Amino acid sequence: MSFCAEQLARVQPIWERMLDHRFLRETRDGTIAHETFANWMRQDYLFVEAAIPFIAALLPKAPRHHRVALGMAIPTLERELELFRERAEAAGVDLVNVQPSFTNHAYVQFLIASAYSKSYVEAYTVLYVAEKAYYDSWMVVRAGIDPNSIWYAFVENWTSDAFAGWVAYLEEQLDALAEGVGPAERERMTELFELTAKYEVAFWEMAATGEAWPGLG
Amino acid sequence: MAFTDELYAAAKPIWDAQLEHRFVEGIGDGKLDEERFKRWVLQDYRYLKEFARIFAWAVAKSEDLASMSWYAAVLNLTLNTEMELHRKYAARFGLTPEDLESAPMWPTTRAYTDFLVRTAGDGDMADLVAALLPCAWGYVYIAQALVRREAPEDQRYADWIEQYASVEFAEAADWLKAEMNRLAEGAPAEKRRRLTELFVLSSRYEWQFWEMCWKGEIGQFTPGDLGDRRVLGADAGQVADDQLISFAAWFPPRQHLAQLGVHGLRLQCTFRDRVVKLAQLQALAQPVDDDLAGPCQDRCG
Repeated sequence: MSFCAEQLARVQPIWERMLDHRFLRETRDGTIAHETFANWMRQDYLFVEAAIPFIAALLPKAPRHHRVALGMAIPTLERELELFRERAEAAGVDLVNVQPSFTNHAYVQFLIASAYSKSYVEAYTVLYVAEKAYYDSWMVVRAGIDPNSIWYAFVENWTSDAFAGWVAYLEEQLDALAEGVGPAERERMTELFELTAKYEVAFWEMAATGEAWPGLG
Repeated sequence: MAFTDELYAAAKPIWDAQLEHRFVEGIGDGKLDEERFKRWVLQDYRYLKEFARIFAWAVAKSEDLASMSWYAAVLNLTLNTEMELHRKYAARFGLTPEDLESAPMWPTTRAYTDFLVRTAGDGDMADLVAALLPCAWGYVYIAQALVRREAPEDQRYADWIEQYASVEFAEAADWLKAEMNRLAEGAPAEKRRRLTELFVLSSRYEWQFWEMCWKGEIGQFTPGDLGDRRVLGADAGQVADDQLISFAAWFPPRQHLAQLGVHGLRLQCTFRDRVVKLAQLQALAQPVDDDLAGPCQDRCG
C-alpha cells in the first residue's frame, strides 16, 4: 500500500470528523450564517497569505524536479488571494486589519516551522495533507450547494480539475519520496500527517465557532 | 524611555494577568495541586528542548562575536545544565526521565514553540530576541514578585521561585533586555511596531502556557479513538472534568455527546449549560465548578 493510502486509512476517524463538520454541511445546505462564512473568509485569507512563504521556504530544500511545480504554486496562491478579495467585496466582508485566531496562528506557525526545521519530505507531507484536506472538504460542499450561492466561487476553486490534479500530483510525489526514507523519518512523517489533519479539523471548528484567542476573547 | 519599557507597557495587561493567574498564585502560596504542577514540569521540558534551538538560531544570526559567545553559552547551559536540573527537579514529583521524554507535546506548547522556531527562522536578530524575551524576562519577573511574599511551605515550590528569582536568571534577562534595546536602537517605527507585536504574542503564549497547565489539554490521541476515550473516560470516572472542558478547544463537544448517547441538547446553548446537562445526566465523574466552565463559554457556543 502506498504511504498516502496507508496514512489516510490510519487517520480516517479524523478525516471523517473533518468531512462531517457542520461548517461544511451548512455551507453545502445553504444554511450557514453569513457572519460565520465571513469569519472563515477572513481567517483563511490570512492562512493563504502565509502559505506563500511556506511554499517559498520549501524551495531551497526541494529536489530539482519539484521546483517548477512549487514555483507555480505561488502565483496560484496569489490568484486565490485575489478571489478572496473579489468575493469579500461582493459579500461586504472586510479583510483589512484581521487578527489571526489562536488556531489559525498556531497552524501557520506549524506550517512554516515545519518548512524550516523538518526535512523536505516531512514538510512536503504537511503540504500534501493540507491540500488533500481542502480538496476533500470542498467536495463535500460541492455535493449539494446551490451553484448560485455567493460562496460558490470557493467551491469551484478547490474542486476544480486543476486543483484535483495538483493534489493528485502531490500524492504521487509524496508516495515516491516516502519510498526513499528510513523508518525514523517515516515515523516523523506519520506524526506530521496526523497533526496536519487535526489542524484542519480545528480550522473548521474555529471558523464555525468564531474562536478568537483564549483568555482574550 | 528604553525600548524594553515600551514593550513592557504594551504587554502589561497580559503580564498582570500572568501574575494573577491561579496557577502562578498557586505556586506562590504553595496551594497548587501537584497534579496540575506536574503538567508544567512535563510541558516545560518539551518547551526547553525547542527553546534551546532558538539560541542555536541566535548564534547563527548574531553579527558580533560577543553575542555569538553569549548565545552559545546559554545554549550550552540550557542543554547540559538546565535540562539536567529539570530532570532532577521532576524526580521530586515522581517523574522519571522517561516520563519527560515520552510526554506528548500539548497544542499550546506546540503552537508556542512553532511560533518561536518560525520567528527565529524568518526573522532577524531583533525579531528573535523580541519573541524569546517574554519567557526569559517573564519568569524572573514572576518569580521576583512571588519571592517577596511569604515562602510556600512546599519546599519544591519554594525552590522553583528561588531558582527563577536568582541572580543568574535575573542577569540573563537583563543581558537580553540590553540586547533588545541595542538591536532596536534607531529602528524605524514600523520595525518597532513589529517587535512589539512579537513581544505581545509571546506574552500571550506565556499566559496560555499557565492556562494549559491549569486546565490540561489533549495530550495524545491515537486514530481510532481520537480522544473520545477522554469523554468516555469521564463517563467511567477516569478523567478530570476540567480536562474534558479543555478538550472542547480542539473538537466540538456536540459529537461527543452523541457518542455518549446524549441527544437533544440545544445546539446553541452555552458550553456551561451543556456541561451542567452532562452532569445531570451523570456523564461526568464530578460536578464542574463554574470557575472551570466559565472561560470556555466563548468558544463553545
